Amino acid sequence: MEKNLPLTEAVFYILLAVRKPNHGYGIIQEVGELTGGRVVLGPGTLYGAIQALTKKNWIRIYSEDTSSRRKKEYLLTEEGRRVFEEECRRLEELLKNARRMGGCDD
Amino acid sequence: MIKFRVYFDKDKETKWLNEMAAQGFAATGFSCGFYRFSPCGPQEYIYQIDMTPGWFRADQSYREFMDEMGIEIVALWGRWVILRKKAADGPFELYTDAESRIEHYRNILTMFKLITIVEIIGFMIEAYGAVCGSYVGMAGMAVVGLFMIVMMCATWKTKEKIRELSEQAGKSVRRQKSAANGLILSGMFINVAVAGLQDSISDFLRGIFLGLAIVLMTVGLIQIIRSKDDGEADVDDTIKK
Repeated sequence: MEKNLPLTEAVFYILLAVRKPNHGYGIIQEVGELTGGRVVLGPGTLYGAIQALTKKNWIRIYSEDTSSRRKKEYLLTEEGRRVFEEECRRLEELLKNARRMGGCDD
Repeated sequence: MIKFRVYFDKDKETKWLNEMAAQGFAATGFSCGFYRFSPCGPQEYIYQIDMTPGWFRADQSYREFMDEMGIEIVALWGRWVILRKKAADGPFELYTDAESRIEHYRNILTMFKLITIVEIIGFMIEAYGAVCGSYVGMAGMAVVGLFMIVMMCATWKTKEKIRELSEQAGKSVRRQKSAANGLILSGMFINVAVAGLQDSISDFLRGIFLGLAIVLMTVGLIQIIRSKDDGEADVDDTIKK
């Protein structure tokens, strides 16, 4: 079992938002839209997460556009993809069990 | 306009900067307790205070990142950085989840502890001078001692803050038992007393007291150094259980 699991909500959504190259502001916007404004990533939270995820090699810098506007883009790595998929399996198990026991019906 | 203030609590400092900004005074610089303000429109800026990984500088990636977010770096001091954003661009909060907030205060705690450790060592050096009858040593001892107490308070407050945040996040944290503060304060008190008494006690007694003070403060110092990662261990242990 991956010892980095469970992922925090912020990390889960950041990884989801960098499946295609995405820059900081784009990540914040996408996560906000996906969750209907429930998960708002503050710049400090996002910066810290990006640093940590880059160090773990779950994401990497995709482009450093030095020409016009320098906007760093990030992309999910193979390692990041593996961890994310494992987290999905974990979450699926949670939901499956909850449904089976009737915990999800209101 | 320039105002002098000393803050050891970044939450209070942030609140003050935002109050000033609401009144039409935007902070544009900081150095050594002096804040420089320029007129601004009411509600023009929102201020936040962050910590940078380095001292008196922010690395390239941090600068670029904040720039991209429309955030302006107003001033860098020590490891603090004052940031501001146009209020028209929406709300501005740096840390938006429990994990990153706790991490942020842990970094602050580590810095406070580091400063405390340096101060204790400084105090012991000054105390040696003071006991030897040097007035410079005595003055130095008073200044460093005072600052040490302030730092110890700041450390304690930050620990409480981390505990509060951890509890809010549903993590029970056991209260850390530490005699460090008591040991250091006793050591300081003995040092001050011995320096004050000067020649009215025998060299022999003075030697014993000084030895005792050094032992107390050193034990306190070691406790602080050893507790460096306890904050983290405390929370993590309870999650795993």
